[in-house]
Amino acid sequence: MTLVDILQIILFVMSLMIFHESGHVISAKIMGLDIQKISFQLKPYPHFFVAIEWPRMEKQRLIYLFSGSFVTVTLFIIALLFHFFGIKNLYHAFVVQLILESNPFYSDITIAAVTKTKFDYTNTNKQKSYSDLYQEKFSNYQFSYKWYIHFTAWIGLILFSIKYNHLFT
Amino acid sequence: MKDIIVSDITYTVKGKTILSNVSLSVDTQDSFALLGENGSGKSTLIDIILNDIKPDKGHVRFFENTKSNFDKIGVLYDHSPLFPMLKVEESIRYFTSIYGLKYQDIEKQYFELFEIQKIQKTLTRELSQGEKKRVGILLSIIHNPDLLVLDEPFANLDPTITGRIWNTLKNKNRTIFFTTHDWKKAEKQATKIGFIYGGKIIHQPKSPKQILETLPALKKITISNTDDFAKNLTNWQYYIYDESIHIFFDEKSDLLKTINTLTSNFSIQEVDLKDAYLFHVHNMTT
Amino acid sequence: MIKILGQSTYYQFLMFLRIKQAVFFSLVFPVFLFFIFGNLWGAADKDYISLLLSGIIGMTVASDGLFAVGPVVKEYYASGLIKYLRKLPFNILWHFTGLILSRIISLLFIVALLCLTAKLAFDYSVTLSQLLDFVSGIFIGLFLFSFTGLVITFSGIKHNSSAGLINLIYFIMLFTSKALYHIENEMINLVGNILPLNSILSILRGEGFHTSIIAWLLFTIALFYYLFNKVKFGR
Repeated sequence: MTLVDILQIILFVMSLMIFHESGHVISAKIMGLDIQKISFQLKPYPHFFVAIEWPRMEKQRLIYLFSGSFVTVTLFIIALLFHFFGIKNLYHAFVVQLILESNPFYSDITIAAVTKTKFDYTNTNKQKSYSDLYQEKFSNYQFSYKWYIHFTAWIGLILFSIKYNHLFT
Repeated sequence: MKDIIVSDITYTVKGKTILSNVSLSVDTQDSFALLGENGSGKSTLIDIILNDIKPDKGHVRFFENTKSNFDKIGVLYDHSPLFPMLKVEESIRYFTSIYGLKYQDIEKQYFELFEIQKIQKTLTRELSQGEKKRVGILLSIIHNPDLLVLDEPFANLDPTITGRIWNTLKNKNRTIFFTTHDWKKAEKQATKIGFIYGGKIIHQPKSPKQILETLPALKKITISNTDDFAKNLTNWQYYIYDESIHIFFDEKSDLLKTINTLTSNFSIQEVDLKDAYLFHVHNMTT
Repeated sequence: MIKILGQSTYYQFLMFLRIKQAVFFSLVFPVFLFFIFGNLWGAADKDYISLLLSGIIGMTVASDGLFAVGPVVKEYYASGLIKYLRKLPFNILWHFTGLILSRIISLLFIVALLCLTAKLAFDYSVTLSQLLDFVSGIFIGLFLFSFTGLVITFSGIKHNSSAGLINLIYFIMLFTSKALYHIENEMINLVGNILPLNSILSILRGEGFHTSIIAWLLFTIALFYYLFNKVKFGR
């Protein structure tokens, strides 16, 4: 793999990230959710993000959270049908993007898992901010058995893309 | 016999004197309370007594021996001796194995008294301050020591079980040396009181009753310290604290008459140990 | 005393198992790395699997020594727990020996897990002589990196900063070492050879004992002794 290949993959990944975020934007618009910010941040890895008025209904939250990955997977299937247009690095970019957006440390899936149950604002939690409560719930979720299932599935995805790389390109 | 002898302890940190020529002794079976305000040197003295800090001068002896041996001494610091990620029963099991004791015996003897059953399966990090204190006190006596050195044993403790725990500690007429912020409890539980202020013992340790008898009267009048009231009090003994003047009041004196001419806003109370401490501090500093 | 040592080891191990994050990074993460890197670059290359296996063991020994001993011992002092332990009728060294033993047991378990992964995923069998090299590397490496971690945590810097510094040193050591790949750049190689991980990797790979390990050990022990006597702990 040359430096040009790496640069090409980075460019493709950046484009896929924009498509992914546009999925969130479109779903938020359709559901009438107020979009507060579209921005870019470096931590924990460089990525774009969309901030919205957080929906109260679980169904809306899930549609919003998974709309990004829905766009990525749809694009992946289309690209797959066209054999990635003969561009091997596009396949690699899709693999990187899918691994990133399904990771068990910081992704839409972890947000969905952590926000599945309502936050408890009673008693000792009265003084805590939403982000403090989120962090608390996230640390309870991380390394739990549900998290390990997610982690194992994620490793499966990585291994699958390494092992069967030849089938797609 | 003297269970603790503290002789001429001086301790300085970066040129600041924390303790200055502190001497005291605790007799066998005494319950000795060391009282003083925050920063007076109580906890530092405990650390020196327990051999955690080396003083610049002076020495501490237990049971009149020159060598420190903690086999017969139980200790409680103002923080818990526990491992955050162990359950209460696991910490107790670990300590009992170190002391060569049977866990079942400790369970039978103390668990109900200290209300341990409810928390024995709980991780230490999930305990409240009061629960940690209960476990800490229990661990200080599981080896049945003759002497207890306790830093703030009543802090955070549920008032409903304080008396029961104190009785357990005093079981077998143990000698207890303790510090506390709860002066009322000290007055009730201690047989001897020592006052510490600015790193110095300010009064010869005595029983609470004897200490109160050192005061000019057994009642006091408290008035707000405004309009230079103190100027009019040249004939009476008083101290100023917390923007109030506390004047010692003998019912035979004409103090009440004088006060009535100055203000109608005052209260009459019985004196307590805090008055004794503040009065002696006032005399020392003026 | 043996009973107390056994209890200390057991409870230290229990405490470790209850820290979910520590279990993940000590037990699961090495296997995960071995699995992924092995599949990426070495599925058919037994030499690479051998290099990767010993490399990941070395990496885990380094992280266990740096993160799981020094900071824990420092915490005993900072929290005042050490004052209680000193009043107990036993030599406090038994308690800390229990801590080290619990780490060794955990490391031996990781080695077993990695060897099993090597067999099942890559059909790579570990020989008895390799196993002996692994055990020697674990003992010497844990001792060396524990003292390195103790030196950093007792260097008087604040807790958060010392955690950051250990991280930095760990990653510099890892990326300049021969743990996961061969390094061709001479400059990086030089840095890697000065730092102690490459010497531990040599033991793990049966390439012999570098005398630099003794220098590192003497240096860290002496420095720790100096810092330990210098640092004053608040109440």
